Amino acid sequence: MSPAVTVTVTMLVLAAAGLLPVLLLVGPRLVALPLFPLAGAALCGAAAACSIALSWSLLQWFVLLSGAAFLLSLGVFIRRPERARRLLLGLRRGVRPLVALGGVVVLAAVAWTLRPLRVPSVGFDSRAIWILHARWLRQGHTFELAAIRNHFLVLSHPGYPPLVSAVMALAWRVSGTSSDRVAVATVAVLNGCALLVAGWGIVEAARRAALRLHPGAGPSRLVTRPRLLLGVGIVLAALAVLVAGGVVGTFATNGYADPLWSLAAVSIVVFGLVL
Amino acid sequence: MHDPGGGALMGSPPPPPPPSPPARVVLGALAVLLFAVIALGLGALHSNHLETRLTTAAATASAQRSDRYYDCLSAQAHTLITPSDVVYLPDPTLAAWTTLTKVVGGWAHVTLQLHQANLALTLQRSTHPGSCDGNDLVTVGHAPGGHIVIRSGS
Repeated sequence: MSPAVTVTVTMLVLAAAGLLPVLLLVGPRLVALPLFPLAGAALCGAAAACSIALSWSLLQWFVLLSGAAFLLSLGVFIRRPERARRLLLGLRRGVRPLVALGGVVVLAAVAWTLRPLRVPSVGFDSRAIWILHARWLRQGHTFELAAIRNHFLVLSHPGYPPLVSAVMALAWRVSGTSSDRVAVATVAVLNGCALLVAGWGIVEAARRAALRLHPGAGPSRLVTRPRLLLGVGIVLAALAVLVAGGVVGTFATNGYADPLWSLAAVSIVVFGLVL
Repeated sequence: MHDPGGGALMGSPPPPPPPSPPARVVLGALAVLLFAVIALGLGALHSNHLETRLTTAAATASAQRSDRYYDCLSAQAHTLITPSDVVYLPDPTLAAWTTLTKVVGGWAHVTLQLHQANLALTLQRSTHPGSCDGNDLVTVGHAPGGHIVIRSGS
C-alpha cells in the first residue's frame, strides 16, 4: 500500500470514528468535516492511554472507544429526536454557495501550505519522540509499560501525550508497515485539518457578523452587505492560513506534534471563547 | 412569558432597524481592514517564499540522506539484535545515545544495567564501504563457550 493510500485510509478510519460524536456536538456544519478525523485522533489517543495504563492493544481500545462514542451519540439522538431532526434538516438544506466557495478557498490554502510534504523529511523530535513512542504502542501493553518505565529512554520524554504517536501506530496497523514516511504524512494531514479548523474560525466570525447586519445607508452600506463581509472573511482566512503555514514551516510536514496542539489551542479559543 | 412573535400577531409595527454606524467609524474599520489585508498578503508572500525553500533539491537530498542513514542503521540493528536480547548501550556521548535510541529504542529491550544485558551495542566510525554514512553498529556479547564475540552490522 502506498503512503498516499495508507494516509487516506487512516484518515477515513479516524473520520468514521469521529463522525457521530462530532455531528452531535457541532451539528451539520462545514467545519465538522476536518473535525471528523481530529475527533477520531482524540479517541485514538485515549485508546493509547488505556492500552498503556490497563491492558490490551491500541487497536482493541480504539475499536472499543469508537464503538462506545458511536453508541453514546446514537443514544443521545434517539433520546432527543429534535436534535436528530435538526441534523437531518441541516443536511438536507446543504451549504450556501458562498460558504462552499469559502470552504474550497481555505482548503486550497491549507493544501498549498502542505507542499513541503513532497520532501521526505523526518524531524529530529519526530524520530526521537513521536515515532519512537509509536513503535512502543505498536507492540502492545507489556512493551509500552516497560518502555515508559525504562530509565534509559527518559530522554525520549515518555510522559508526552500519546495522541500523535497513537495515530502513527494506527496508520501502521492499517498499512501493515512501520514506515516513517507514512507516520509523518499522517500527522501532516492531521495538522492540515487543524489548520483548516483554525482558519475557518475567521470565515465563521464573518458569517455570524453578516447574519447580524442590517442594510445601511451612506458610507456604511460598504460594510453592511452580508455577502461582501463574508467574502472579505474568506480572503482574510485564506491569507491567515498561508501566513500560518509559513510560521509553522517545516514542522507542519516532518512529523512534529507541536503544530497540531498549537492550532487546536487556537481553534478552541476562537470557537470556544470568541464565537 | 416572552414571545418573540407576539408583537407581529398583535398587529404592532416591527422594531426599527438599528441606526447605521457613523461615517468615521466605517472609514476607520475600512482602514483597519485594508491594513490587515496588506499585512496578511505580505506575510503570505513571505511564507510562500519560505515554503518554496523547503522543497528545493538540496532540501530533498538532505532529507533523503538522513532517511537512508537511519534506514541503514536500523537494518544493521535488526541483523545484530533479536527480540529476546537485552541490550546495554555503553556509549557515553549524548549524540550516540540519541542515535541509538532512535534506531533500537522502539523495539529492542534496552537497559542501563550492564548485569541484566547479554549484548552491548555501540556506534563506531567506519571506513567500510557498507557502512552507514561512515558509521557502523557493533555488538559485544558472550558466546556459549564464554568467549567474547564482537559483531559488526556492515
